[in-house]
Amino acid sequence: MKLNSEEVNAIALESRLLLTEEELSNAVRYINNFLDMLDRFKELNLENVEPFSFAETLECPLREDTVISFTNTQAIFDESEHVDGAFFKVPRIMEE
Amino acid sequence: MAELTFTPVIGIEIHIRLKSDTKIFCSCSTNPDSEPNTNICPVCMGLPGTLPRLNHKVVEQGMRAGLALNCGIRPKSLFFRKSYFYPDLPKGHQISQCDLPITTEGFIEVHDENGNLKKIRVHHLHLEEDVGSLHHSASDGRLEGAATSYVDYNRSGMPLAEIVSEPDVSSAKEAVEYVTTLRRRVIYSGASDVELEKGMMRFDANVSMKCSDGRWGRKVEVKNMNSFKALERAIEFEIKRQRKMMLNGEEVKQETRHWNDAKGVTTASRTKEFYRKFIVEPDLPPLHISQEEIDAVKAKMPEMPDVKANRYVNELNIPREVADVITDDKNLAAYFEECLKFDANPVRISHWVRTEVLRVLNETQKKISDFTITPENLAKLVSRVDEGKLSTTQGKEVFDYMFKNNSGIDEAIKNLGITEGGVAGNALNEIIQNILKENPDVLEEIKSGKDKKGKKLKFLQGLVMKETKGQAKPQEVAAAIEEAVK
Repeated sequence: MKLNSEEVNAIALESRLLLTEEELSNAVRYINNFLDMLDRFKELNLENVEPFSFAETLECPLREDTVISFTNTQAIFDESEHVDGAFFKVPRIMEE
Repeated sequence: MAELTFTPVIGIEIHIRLKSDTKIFCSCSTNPDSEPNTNICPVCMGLPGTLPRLNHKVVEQGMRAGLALNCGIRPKSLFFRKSYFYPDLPKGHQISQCDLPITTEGFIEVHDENGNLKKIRVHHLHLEEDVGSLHHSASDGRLEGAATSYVDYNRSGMPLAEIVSEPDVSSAKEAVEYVTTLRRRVIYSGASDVELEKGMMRFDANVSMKCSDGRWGRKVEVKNMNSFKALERAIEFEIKRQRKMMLNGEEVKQETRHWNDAKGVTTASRTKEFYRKFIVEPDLPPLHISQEEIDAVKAKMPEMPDVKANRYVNELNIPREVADVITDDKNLAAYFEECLKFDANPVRISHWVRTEVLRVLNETQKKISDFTITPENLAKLVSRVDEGKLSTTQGKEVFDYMFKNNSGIDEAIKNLGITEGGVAGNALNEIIQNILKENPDVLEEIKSGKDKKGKKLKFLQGLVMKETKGQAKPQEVAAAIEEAVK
């Protein structure tokens, strides 16, 4: 599988990245090298191998359902430049 | 040429708020009545350096909801970060199980157009977090059209179950039965109260059409339905729209459309869908659920409403319609079953619950949890009516009195001045004698044989019935009067 520069550019835009021509060609090469490596896995016999999903062998720690209110919400408001009363302000977004 | 026929192919996605005291990944309260932006913390605000910590209760609620939909519990599930670049979720991603969900492969039964039972397969149910709520007018109520939107992050991080069906639904009617049955089962399971008016259940429908000439329309996702009625109308509209397009030889585009409830139409909408970019959530290791845990939750699952209704019909001989109405509300069914502990006839009790209990609850806009007549008092009342100690009319009077005055049955009967078993024998004769004394002219007329049509006898019967407040049996009154005037 290979990606062309148009596809890589689309992915970059989705990631909110603007790439120069040079950065784009580097990214295309880098990504395609990576995809080449993935292709090599196809040569392996992976029957009866559980798909890999997580690097650690930790248990997912669970938390009791007990309310602990965060007391310093003002600090969160203080970090935002755009506050109006009890609300955070964001650029107007209105679905059609 | 044969007429073209079209088959709707519909899949439904439902989001349900799961019941818990705290959010899914942090210890903030889920109280929906809190002031804006008071239930927030660095975790649900997506501040750097914070870690999500999964709520055990939410895992259990997800299992309960899954079991209610006949799903199997997966021993291993995983959370992902789903790209979500929108200001109602400040992390820039939503933590969701999407690809390796906690429960899979269930079904809900509905009735098809011929009235036969049909399974709508549930592909899976997965856990995820809700987003904050956006207000498009200013916090101080200033005009629409302002340059800003306002965000309340209290909802951000609330626990959700997303339930995805297979495209097995063939009509708007089936869709509504699917969501109502599903909702009822989830409520029974205790996983959620699913209060529609509080936005605890939201629907999206994927609608496409298959034509008898072999053409398949593309899938259209319809969003923004917040009620069963809206879901039904939106699907009906979309079926008609796509059918018309295909009849005209047009191609149905794959797109997201927005249901406009006021206008009753769907319109193409600007989408906030992005490339479906996922990575495994590196801060949450896989969730392992042991067979012991699965068995423990299964053991706690209550009888499901349709199973309960079948039991009422088969074991208690309750009519199907009555059984369906009673089991529609988990608490009403519990009340009914409580009544059965006091030796009243189940069928008679079921009719009283179906008619009288629901009538007064409806009239007073109360819930069964606020109902003042205890199961024991209702059972006693039904038994006494059954045994003929109270007439049906008297029974209803006693019922209304108990409900309004929060009283027991004996107090109600006493205060209403009702004589159980009715007025008969010596008491009845005494009343008749008094009435005859007060109406000597009538008595004379009857004795002299002038009352050929029996009008005067009827007149006396009326007076006696009035005096006994309707508590005497009409036949007995007639016989006793005839005897008295001889």
